[in-house]
Amino acid sequence: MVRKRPLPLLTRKYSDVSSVDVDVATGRQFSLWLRGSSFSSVARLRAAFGFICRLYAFKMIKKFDKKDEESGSGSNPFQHLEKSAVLQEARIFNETPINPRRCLHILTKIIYLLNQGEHFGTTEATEAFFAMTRLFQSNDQTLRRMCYLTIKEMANISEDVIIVTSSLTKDMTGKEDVYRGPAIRALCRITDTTMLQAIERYMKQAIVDKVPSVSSSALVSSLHMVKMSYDVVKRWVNEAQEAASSDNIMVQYHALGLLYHLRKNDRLAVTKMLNKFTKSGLKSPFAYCMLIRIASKLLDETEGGHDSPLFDFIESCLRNKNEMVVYEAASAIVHMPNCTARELAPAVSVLQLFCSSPKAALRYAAVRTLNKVAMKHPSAVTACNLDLENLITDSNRSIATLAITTLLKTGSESSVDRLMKQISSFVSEISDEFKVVVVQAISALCQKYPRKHSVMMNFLSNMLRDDGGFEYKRAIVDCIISIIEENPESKETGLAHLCEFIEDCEHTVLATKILHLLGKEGPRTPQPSKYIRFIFNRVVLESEAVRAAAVSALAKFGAQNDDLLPSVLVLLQRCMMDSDDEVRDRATFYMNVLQQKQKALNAAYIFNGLSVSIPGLEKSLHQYTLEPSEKPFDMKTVPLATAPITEQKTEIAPVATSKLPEKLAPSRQDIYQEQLAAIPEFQGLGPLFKSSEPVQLTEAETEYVVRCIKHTFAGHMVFQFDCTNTLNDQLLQKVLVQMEPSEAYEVVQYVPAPSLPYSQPGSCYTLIRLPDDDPTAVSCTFSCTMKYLVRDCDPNTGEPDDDGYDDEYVLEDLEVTVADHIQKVLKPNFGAAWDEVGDEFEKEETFALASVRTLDEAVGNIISFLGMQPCERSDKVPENKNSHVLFLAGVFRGGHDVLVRARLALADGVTMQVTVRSGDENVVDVILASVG
Amino acid sequence: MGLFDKLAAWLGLKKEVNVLCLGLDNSGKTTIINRLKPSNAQVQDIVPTIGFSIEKFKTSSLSFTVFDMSGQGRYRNLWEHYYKEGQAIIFVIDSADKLRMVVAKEELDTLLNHPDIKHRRIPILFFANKMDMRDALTSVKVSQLLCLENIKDKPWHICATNALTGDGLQEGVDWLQGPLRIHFNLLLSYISSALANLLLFVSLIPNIFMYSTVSPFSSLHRGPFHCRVKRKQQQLLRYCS
Repeated sequence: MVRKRPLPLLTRKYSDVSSVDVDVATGRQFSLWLRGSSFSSVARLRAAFGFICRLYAFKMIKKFDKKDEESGSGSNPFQHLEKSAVLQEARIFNETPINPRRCLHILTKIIYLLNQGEHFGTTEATEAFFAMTRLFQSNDQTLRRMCYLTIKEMANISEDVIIVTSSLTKDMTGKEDVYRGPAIRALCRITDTTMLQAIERYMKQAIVDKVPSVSSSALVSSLHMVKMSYDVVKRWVNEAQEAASSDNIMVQYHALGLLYHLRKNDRLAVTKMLNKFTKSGLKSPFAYCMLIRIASKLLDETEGGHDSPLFDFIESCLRNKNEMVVYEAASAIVHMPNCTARELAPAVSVLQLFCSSPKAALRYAAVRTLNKVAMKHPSAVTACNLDLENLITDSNRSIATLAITTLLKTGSESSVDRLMKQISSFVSEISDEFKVVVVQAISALCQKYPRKHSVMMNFLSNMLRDDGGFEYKRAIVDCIISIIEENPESKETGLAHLCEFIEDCEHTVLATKILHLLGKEGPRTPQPSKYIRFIFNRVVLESEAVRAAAVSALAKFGAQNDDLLPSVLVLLQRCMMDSDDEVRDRATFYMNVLQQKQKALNAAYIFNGLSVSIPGLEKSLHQYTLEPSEKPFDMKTVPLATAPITEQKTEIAPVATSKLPEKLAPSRQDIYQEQLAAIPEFQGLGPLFKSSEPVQLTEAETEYVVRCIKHTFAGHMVFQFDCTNTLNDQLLQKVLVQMEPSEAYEVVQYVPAPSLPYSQPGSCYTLIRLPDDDPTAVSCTFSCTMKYLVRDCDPNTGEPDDDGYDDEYVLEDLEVTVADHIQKVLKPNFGAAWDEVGDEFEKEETFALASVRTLDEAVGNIISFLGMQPCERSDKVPENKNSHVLFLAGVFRGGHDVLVRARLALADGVTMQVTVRSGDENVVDVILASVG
Repeated sequence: MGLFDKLAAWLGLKKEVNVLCLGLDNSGKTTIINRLKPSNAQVQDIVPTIGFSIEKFKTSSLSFTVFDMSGQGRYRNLWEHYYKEGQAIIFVIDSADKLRMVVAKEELDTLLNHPDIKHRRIPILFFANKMDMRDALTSVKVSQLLCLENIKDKPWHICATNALTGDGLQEGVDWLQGPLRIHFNLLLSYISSALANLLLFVSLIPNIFMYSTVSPFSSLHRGPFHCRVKRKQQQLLRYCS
């Protein structure tokens, strides 16, 4: 038995109604009217009933509203709906006669719940759906259209939705135009590939229907079905073609859309279609915009020159009557790659016109597009500078901000001061989001005009003092940090501003970040002592996370500046009394390290923190505790962290971040480590040392796509071949890649992929032993051949034949280079690390790189060849200099630190003096040998 | 019974009945329903129904809402969703299709044993359709093949029909009105008795309820009316049992 639930919303409302009395006056009027009429007419009486019903309904709604206001639940009567209650109410769909008003209300509730993301089980959804199908009895227009909406919403969650197919077909071919369009849309939503043929005839008729809404619905629905059953919809091309010549702008647009999507894989057909429509001209501006998009996409794909007819067409659209088309054309030209200034000019002048349009939307669109142009072609936009300056005072702040940031990009160095003044006049009025845009523009400006840093710095520090959200503050701090890094002269002012900022900073992340920066940069400034006060204030005033970061920063000062050391030790001693464990631990640790007064210790434990991967460390320690042994835990068994390559600006050594993210996402390498450990053949190889980026061994779009990832272990290498079979009539089995080494490398074992069905990637592995006797043999070339058993199969069912045959496929050669043996490690303080390793195994040699023309190129080549991490931002070559020093750090296979210092000088070619230091002599030899 | 019909008509309650139209595919369900509709609403070409469609037609006393279900094999399991509110069933058989007569019987048995149908006295009208075909079986033969004589707890009737010309359809519908009207009038008599009581009651309070001042119906709420309703009700009960 179903338990009777408390009466839900609607029922309660009705119980209210029963107690509502018809107003006495209205009742009297009503009876008068009745007396005056010829009473025998049934129609009149029915009308009278209808009147009463409406009266009730009106009262009911009024009352309902009043109640709502009283309970203060706002204007949403659906706020506290419960799914089970609504579904129970849906039972009234089964009643006869149907009450359209109530049913409508319940359908609204169901749709509301669906859109709120409420989960409906299949059974309950199906039950509600079938109950809803009965509402097709009623001829109430609103109810019927609500049914269409419900069908569309429930199409995926209910079973057997095709039950309404005939009812919908009847509506779409019926006389009521109001029903036809929505019925088509609902029908196409529930139709699957097998059913589509049954309704094909109706769809064809509907596409060419003379009622625009019907035709549009049919076209748009067909567009949705192209994804599902391309072949069937393709047969409707003729009808779509006819619709494309319709007078209605929407129908024409939708028809063009359908035609394009049917042909988009066939470039020739698209070109033909474009030619046809560009010649004949279209009525609909929407269709024009679509044509422009298709044309620019085609231009992009064919890399056609700008003298092609397509470009002419786009340019001709700049003279269209409709603003939308003009904008679309201008935007298309602006976004074209390798566009010359001459081609840009007309587009920019059109946008310039829009800048003075009375419509805010147009101004916004124009200035936004100009902003984008300014990034690539600042000179093209200079012509608009005057209009943009007018827009600075625009009442719409979004437009004003974009105008200013555009001007910042295009303006000359001299105008920067003025613009900055203007920005500061309204910066407090715009939203945080746009403030971030302004900050980014300033950051870009700083890189362009480094000499202006003092103006910028002042401005930024003012902004920093204003109120603002976290994102905004972070953007400013990032910007200041990047200025400091780019520009040594600004370092002191920048640090001073940041120090001031952390005095009153509520964001822990920013405070720790700045403290880390202070620890890194502060000791190297002429007057390190002045930062100590700011840092120690943090220890006194802030939360644990900030205190811990402050302790780390203090320790760095102590390690680097001998004259400060006694005072730092005193301060650290105080920190050892802190209430937080982490702060105490750090203070104790640093205290002890500093008291040793050994440079090497300082370098290893204070400047350059741990360089292991954190999840890897966690796993190794866990493993160690599971198998207790006499041996101490060896840090070298822990896989190294892959250095953050992209985020050099924001790197944070683990020591300084006391607030690690909740869960460190395992890096790519940790994932591989896990995968390889699951293969029994690779047990006992030790921890994974390095995984290379994938190398493609086949051309794109061949029968089989193979890429290789090289995994380096202490004494072995594992090649992982990710193979994909792109032939749908073949099943590959026992796939392996045979490798022929050119050097003394030895293939130990193949692990084949058991089966490789169509388009499902699979992996096979090859295990190689590295030569022990010759440690200098680091590079080797392998010729690879993929061998497999082919079984032909039915492309549709994937059912393979019983017998197969062996076949092979030649892949490109695979190279192992020195970079595969070196893992990148970031040393935040290269000098300290350099001293730590010592000059025991130092070697130095000079090379001439004849083929290289610039220092930048040389630096890039060296980094990619050695696969080491550039330190101290030495990968960036300052402009207009003839010499440069590159610092590289890494760990060689086996766990030996390697440091490389390369002095580069630009003469005819580039002359390079390489100094290598390592804890192992062999490693030094290997590197020098590979460079030579 | 004229009075009840009049009363029903007056209340705007031309009784609506929901009828399910079932049967195998290509037996002529949609054609039959189409033929029963008023001539201006009929459609020319009939296509296989997918799912179901709702059609309406009227006779002199009843207004029919027909759920014309699809007979194709994959949709037959969807019939049961609509059993509950069907007040009558029209089961159409292709008399010329001897081969699938067993299939029709099987579907009929499933229908009759369905919990929503089994314990209800729901009238079933069989149309042995396609009588114009040369090798069509007679309605007697059809009823034998379907073992209709085994249906004891429900009123049923079989008609030989030709949906293309409309022969025999009216006969079937006329029969259907009988059991439906009994069913309906029983219900109506309850309603009208309650209504009459109500009228009597309210007529005691002058000038509030408007019916009391209306002349053509003033005879309605004199005392004997109530008794007559009671008597009629007993008669009907006797008839039904």
